[in-house]
Amino acid sequence: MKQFSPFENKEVTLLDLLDGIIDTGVVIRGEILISIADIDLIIVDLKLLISSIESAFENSSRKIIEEVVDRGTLIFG
Amino acid sequence: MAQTATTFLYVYGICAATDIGETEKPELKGIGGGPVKISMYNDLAAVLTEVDGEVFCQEQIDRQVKDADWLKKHAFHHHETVAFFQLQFPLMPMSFCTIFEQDNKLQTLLTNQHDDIMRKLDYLRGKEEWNIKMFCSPELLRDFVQHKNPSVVSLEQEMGAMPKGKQFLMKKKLAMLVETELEREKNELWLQAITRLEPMMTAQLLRQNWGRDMTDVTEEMVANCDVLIKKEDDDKFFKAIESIEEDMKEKGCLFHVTGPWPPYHFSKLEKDNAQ
Repeated sequence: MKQFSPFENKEVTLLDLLDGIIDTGVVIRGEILISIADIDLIIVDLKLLISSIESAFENSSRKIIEEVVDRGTLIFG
Repeated sequence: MAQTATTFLYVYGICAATDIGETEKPELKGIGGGPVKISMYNDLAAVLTEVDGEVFCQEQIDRQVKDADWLKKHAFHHHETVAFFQLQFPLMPMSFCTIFEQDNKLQTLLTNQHDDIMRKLDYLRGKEEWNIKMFCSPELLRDFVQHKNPSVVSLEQEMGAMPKGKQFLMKKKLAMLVETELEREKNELWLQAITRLEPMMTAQLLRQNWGRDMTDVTEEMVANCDVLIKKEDDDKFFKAIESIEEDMKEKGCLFHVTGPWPPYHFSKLEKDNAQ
């Protein structure tokens, strides 16, 4: 079993963090002035960010990301 | 001091005033650069900071969340602030960029939903959120299914007694059976794992699995689950996962556990939330 702290590795936990704090944590919708709707787009941008940080932007992964951006969504699973 | 027309309130979370007590109150800088404060609203309190309404308006935020650097920096700020206070008292975390135009809107909301919020805070007290990701090695699991799955082994034995021509035709059926049993086996493995963990859990929420392009793992993700557990059950929980992993090693299963998280997935007030 591998155990990660939310503060340990920012790249590994960033996706989990966004999955937690965007949308799913909305407690009181009625009076909220601002919310974020386009979660798919956020995840796409994030994937681009992670890829560039890791310098892992090889042709195959670039192709995947381009396809994802083209479709407008990144499919989980 | 009266708020200017363009000052909004960015809220990190809500807590019970009685839980705050002698809490350490360091000078934390808020998302907009101003100080993070705890404002009292009768017996509830909000962890918040004032922000410039022109910077934190809908249009600007919609634009900025598409900037990965801005998103990363501010999402972690939100999380670190929530996590700091959550270590000191039960906090119902708010979503990223939960912003109120006026203080009286927040006040009204806390008054109207007072009882529900109090109940939720009681529910969260003494508990923490963890995320479990279960992975399986497709190769090892396939090998296991091909050689040890009773349905597959039985069909192979039947085929052994058939004439060559029929054996050839049955090969396709065997291949399909392996695929079906492979999927069933994955579901069954997760079911076994979660059943063994259930005595230590208060609630669980299954998320969608992530593809390999989103993980650093060569194995395939078969479950992505948020769980709420009592703090005192931490050790039992980890030992149970280690034991499950050991028992499922032959099938190439491994677990990644992340946390403790603030109870992001268990703080909703909707009636259909797991509680």
